[in-house]
Amino acid sequence: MEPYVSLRDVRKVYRMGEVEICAVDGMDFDINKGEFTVIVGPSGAGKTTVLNILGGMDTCTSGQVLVDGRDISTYKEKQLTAYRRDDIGFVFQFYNLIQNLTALENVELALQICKDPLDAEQVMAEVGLKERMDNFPAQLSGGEQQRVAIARALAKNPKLLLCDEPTGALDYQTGKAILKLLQDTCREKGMTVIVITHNQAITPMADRIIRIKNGRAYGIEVNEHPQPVEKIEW
Amino acid sequence: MKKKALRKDLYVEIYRTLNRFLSIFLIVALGTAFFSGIRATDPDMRLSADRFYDASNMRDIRVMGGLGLTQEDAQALAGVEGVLEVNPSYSYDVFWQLPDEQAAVKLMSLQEDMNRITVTEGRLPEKTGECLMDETMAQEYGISLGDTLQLRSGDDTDIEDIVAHDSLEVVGLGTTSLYLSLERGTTSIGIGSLEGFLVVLPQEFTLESYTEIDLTVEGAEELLCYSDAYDDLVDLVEERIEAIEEERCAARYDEVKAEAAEAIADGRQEIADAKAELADARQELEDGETELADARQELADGETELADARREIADAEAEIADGKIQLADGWQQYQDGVYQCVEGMDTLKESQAQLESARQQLNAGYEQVNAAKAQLEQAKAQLDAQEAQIQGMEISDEEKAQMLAQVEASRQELAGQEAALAQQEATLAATDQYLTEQEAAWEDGYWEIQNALEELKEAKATLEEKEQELADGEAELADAKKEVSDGEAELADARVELADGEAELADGWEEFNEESADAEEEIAEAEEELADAEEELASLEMPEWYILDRNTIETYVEYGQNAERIGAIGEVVPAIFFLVAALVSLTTMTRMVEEQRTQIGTKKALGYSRWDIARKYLYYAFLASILGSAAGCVVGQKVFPIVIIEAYKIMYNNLPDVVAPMHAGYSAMSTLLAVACTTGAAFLACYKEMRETPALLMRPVPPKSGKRVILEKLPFLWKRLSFTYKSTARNLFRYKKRFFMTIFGIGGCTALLLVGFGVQDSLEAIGNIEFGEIRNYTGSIMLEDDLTEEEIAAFTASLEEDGRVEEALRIEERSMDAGSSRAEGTKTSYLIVPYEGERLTDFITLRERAGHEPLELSSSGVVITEKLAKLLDVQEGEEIFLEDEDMQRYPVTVTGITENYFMHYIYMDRELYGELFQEEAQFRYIYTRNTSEEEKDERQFQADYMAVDGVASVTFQSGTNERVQDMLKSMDALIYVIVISAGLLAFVVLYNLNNINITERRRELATLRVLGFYNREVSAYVLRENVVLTVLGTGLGLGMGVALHRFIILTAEIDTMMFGRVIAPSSYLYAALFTLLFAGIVNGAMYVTLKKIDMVESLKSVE
Repeated sequence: MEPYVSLRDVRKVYRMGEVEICAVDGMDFDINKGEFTVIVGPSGAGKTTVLNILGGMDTCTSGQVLVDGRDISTYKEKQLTAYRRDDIGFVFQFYNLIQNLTALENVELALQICKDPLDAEQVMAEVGLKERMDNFPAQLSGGEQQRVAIARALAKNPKLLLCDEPTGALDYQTGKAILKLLQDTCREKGMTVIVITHNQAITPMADRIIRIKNGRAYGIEVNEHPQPVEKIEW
Repeated sequence: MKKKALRKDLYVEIYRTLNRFLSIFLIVALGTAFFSGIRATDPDMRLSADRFYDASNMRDIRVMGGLGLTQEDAQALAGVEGVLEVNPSYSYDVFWQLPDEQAAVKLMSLQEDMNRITVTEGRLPEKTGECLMDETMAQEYGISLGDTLQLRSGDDTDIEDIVAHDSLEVVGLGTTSLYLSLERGTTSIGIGSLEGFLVVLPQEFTLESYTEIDLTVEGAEELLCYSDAYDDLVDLVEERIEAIEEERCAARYDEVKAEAAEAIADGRQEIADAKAELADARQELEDGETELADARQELADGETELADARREIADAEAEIADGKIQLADGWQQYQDGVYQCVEGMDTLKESQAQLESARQQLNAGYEQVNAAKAQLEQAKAQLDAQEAQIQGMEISDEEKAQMLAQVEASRQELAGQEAALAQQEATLAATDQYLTEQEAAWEDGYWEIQNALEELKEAKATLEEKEQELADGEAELADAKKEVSDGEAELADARVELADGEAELADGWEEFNEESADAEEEIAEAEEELADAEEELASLEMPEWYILDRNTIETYVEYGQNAERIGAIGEVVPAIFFLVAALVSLTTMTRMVEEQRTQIGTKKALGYSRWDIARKYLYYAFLASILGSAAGCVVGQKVFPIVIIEAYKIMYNNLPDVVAPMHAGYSAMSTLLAVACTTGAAFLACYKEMRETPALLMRPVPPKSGKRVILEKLPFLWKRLSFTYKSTARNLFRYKKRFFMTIFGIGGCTALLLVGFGVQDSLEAIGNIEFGEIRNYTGSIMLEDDLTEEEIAAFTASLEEDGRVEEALRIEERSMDAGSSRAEGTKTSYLIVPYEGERLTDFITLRERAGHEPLELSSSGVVITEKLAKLLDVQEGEEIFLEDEDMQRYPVTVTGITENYFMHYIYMDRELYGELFQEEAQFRYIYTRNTSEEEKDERQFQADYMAVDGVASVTFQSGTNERVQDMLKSMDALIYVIVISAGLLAFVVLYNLNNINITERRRELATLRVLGFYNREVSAYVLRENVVLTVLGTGLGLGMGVALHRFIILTAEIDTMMFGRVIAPSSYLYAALFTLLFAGIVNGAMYVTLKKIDMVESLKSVE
């Protein structure tokens, strides 16, 4: 089976005056459709750069990025925007909700721009926020806010759900709940989920674990028997 | 700041956030520039004028006396404490006579040291007969140096009693500080307005006393005119002058009274003399008459004598004629006698000859007879011989018988002959007898003739004597005739002389009659005058002085009022800027402090005191505002006054230089205000944060919760809004400071623009409505005042025949002062009385401004113009009064108030005019509505009618319109200033708002981009807020603009003008569009910034 997402010798070089910094230096990995992937690595390993490139927020200096058979590394800005719009769901560490919109409206916001959205209220119900739909983000807890963020990403019905440290700002229990939500989503909807984290502890729950360091993927392992989130502790 | 790190932090902060720094700097600069600049314009206008006044040493006080002023008055005034210089002078309003019009001009005497004239061309007059002309008037009338002006008195004083020369040569052109503007004020002559002034030497004036004495006040030059200090100082001196007024007036009164009394006495003497002279003249004529009568008598005598002489001559002539006839008869007789004598002699001679021949014949007869007797004897002898022979002869006897028979026969015959002879002899004897008798008779005849001749000789002598006598008589007669003819010639001469004398006398009489009538009339007049003078003298009142300070100089006051108006605008308009500046500073500083929350926390944690930390923001604000103020003050106080005053100079063209110094007061005030506002805002922003604990500060600020807005109560509407609209709606209510800043900023911008355009509309209303809708006539023709009613009517009729004239209406136009019990002072207005009241509306629209309700003239009152009604504070149905030149007041009721924008008019019904003034109006003006208002057609029309006798002037509305438009151009500059400032305001405010919005929402925007929003959608999200705020601000601004416009219009309006009250719909549109355009430009710039937002921002933690 063709991999759903595949990075081929991807490099990203930042020019800081005289100095060239190679944030990603020949990254190679494949991810299959419907997999729950965790990309894990320490600070400065190039996680964020990979995320940016995968998420269409940044372009790579060289190499190929294939998502569902299309090479997004050749995309121009406008195409990239369309790519983000239609194909990517994004979950941020700090939720990045629009403070002025209620939880439901934050979801609807995303829906307004994509081609084939899901029903916002239904998605909200699925993430367990049916009762709090009309609250503003400031009135919600961190976990609830992250659920809203996930709902917002899911409602777009994306090809790829990218999560950047989704539990980073959450306490242990809430974090677990979020991870469960993500795993359940992956399992139930067959959504390809990529979680980027520095937290080694959550790797057992993933179908595929990509370990990166110094801009390279140094260990890609496929977990035949991912554990349910409940079993994981850190 | 001793702490180097902090200081560096400040500088770096400024450098890093230059945009923010500049936006505070700019808005403060704008605020202070507007505030100090427009406020400074008022004093700068005054100062510029003051410099001009001081430079020309313009009088501070003018004293005019009811009876004129004298050198003694001048000396007395010079003695008044506080009076610096005294300058008595003359002035008089006269007509300058042009070929087809007359212009009222003020003739002023040249004052060397006061009210100095600025010569712009040529030179000052140096001798009498020369003048310097008002430059403005010279331009208007196309007069150049060397032209000669003809002057004419405008009142009952003869021109010789005013000036020495009634024609003046223009040797120079110039201006005076007494007239700043194009207006030259009013006069009592002509149509009531002065066209200009002429400056002549004082010696040119022949007036008997000074008309005015100008003074300067000690210390006044140092003071700024229009200031209270100046007014107080001048008032003080005025009071002191008032103190000597009574004494001087009394002196002048006595003097004039004495003079008048003397004059009356002289007058009386003169009248008496004149009467005596008249009597003498009559006497002389009568003497002449007598003489003439004598002469006539003499002539008659002479004629009688001559007639006698002529009769004598005639007698003598008759005698001579008789004598001549007698003489002629005598001569005839004498001639006849002579003739008879000659004839007698002739007859005598003839008869003598006859007698002699008869004697001869007789003698011959005798001889014959004797011869015949001899022959016969012989014949008898022969016969006897023969008979003898015969007998002797041998012949036969028969033969002898025969022969003897024959001799016998012969004898027989001889016998016969002898008988005949005898008979003859007898006859001869008888004849001889007769002859002798005859000869005796002849002898008698001869003697008779001889006697007659003797007698004739005597008669001839007598006749000759007679002739001589007659000749003598004739000579005598000729002499007599000569004498008579001489007498006749003499008589003829005498008669001619007499006729001449008679003619002369007749002429003399005629002259006398005529002259005496005149003289008597004159005497009567003089007597009347004398009576008047006496009465006047009797009623001569103590004169009063008119002590006039500069506040009585029209342009001085008007200019001051204009300055005040600008000042009043300066009180209000800059307030908008200050409000916005304060809001901008507050928002900006608040945002800045919020942004630096963590840094503040860190500093606090590091142990810096609150003051140290706050100082950064306070200094930041302070630096931005002090620099902004400095720039604003300099630019504002240099640019605004100069631009505005230069604009006013279109109206006040005589003002030479604009002075725009810095005003410490305004600078300090605006700087203080700006700095206080900005720094205060910074302090307020810091204050809250300073109180938090460092720990709290280090943590991200809990995001401000979204709030439901009122719009959500309307689900049908809310549901339809996209999230960006929802977000925008909530944002608007979330940040109140920004909301108000933007609303006020944008509102201010729109308001200013609306004011700018609105003021133009208001000004155009004067042109468009006044000359487009209200004054529908093309022009007016003024006729000279000596035309009769019939001539005017005929002229009007002929006008209506002219194809170029659609309609013509006779009008009485009269300048009068209108006043009311409620208003102070009076307003010069034109009284308009139509000949046919119902046709007036074809020429002038009378209607209420609101609703355009038409008004009609009635005999119950007058229709007055709106501005006049406002100035006099009267409503429909209330009473005003009209005041004529003699201060006589006529009360009338106002029956309507009509829309009007330029000058004051009072429309009155003809009937009411008659009732009110007790005289019929002359209707010397004819308003025409022409088919063409093209300039060239108007010029042709004007030229054609100026050529008509009796036409004094032809003027067109278009000319007035042009003048008004020129005058109003002065406002244009102000409008540009306003538009530019408005634009700047919009830029600063929107730029600032966007800046804040974008920095504040960087994260939100980055998120949106990550979510896949296109740039356009992202900017729409942010800019929609701007758009809504702009639209709201524009809406508010339109409202504010209407109020501000009203305020400015009412403040800036001058007395004789009403600006349009209505702003044109297009101006609302333009004001809004311009605002949106400015906003659009700022938003466009923002779009570029937005595109640069890095999506990575979204991944960062909240600071």
